[in-house]
Amino acid sequence: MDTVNLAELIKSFNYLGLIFKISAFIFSVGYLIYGIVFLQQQIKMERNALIYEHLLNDPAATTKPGRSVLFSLSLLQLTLGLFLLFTSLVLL
Amino acid sequence: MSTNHSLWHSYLIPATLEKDLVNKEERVLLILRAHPITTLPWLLVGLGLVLIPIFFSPYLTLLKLNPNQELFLILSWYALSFSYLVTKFFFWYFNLGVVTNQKIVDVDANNLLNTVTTATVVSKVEEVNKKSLGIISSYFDYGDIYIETAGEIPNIEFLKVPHPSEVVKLINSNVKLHGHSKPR
Repeated sequence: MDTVNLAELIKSFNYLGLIFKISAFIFSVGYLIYGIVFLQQQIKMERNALIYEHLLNDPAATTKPGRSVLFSLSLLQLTLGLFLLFTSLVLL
Repeated sequence: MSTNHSLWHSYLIPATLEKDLVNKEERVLLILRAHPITTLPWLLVGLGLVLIPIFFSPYLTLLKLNPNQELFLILSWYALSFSYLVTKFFFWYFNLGVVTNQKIVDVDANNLLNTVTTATVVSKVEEVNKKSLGIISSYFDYGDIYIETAGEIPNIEFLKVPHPSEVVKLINSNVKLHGHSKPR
């Protein structure tokens, strides 16, 4: 009896859905990693490159330059990655 | 201090340029990025990517996915399009040339993990050349600038920057004031 139930269960299992869920999870993790690397590089580049713009505006500046628009965009990218991960784990 | 920020921050000069040029302390005279018109191709590609789901979403039903899966597909498409645009903006924003009264710096972001910064002191500058790139570059006034340096220091290139003639003039004046080599 149990063997028959198991066979039916295996037959009725939605393999396409599972494959979709695994692919979605891998994509989301990849996107999230890209978002983290992007944010890291963006902060590094801001420190190295934008200091010149800061000094051009104020040659005697001793403060660090403020965050650029790109910082907000990369945070948004990271949030998108987290949302995709949540969707792939919970909704699919 | 007011600054002349023109062309989407691709051509920045200080309001006190003449004073800064002769200043003994290091002062930033010019910051250059590629002309904004050169961003048009990837902006158009980005627009195309954003529009694709609008035209193709009715065909998603053919894949027989459940609504959540359809939502995920559309969302991930928009996430990819967004990342494409942000990454292109990253390269445009961080590919910059800096001219100070003492040195010239070229920052090249080749890809996300590989950035190259080349710098030379003004006294090592031997030649400054500009190259026009065709009809569009003449119309929008942008071009390439090649700075040849003495010794083994790699040459510096500012590609597709606005107002190339003015940039060459400024670098030449800077070399005349602070460098030893004779500019062209």
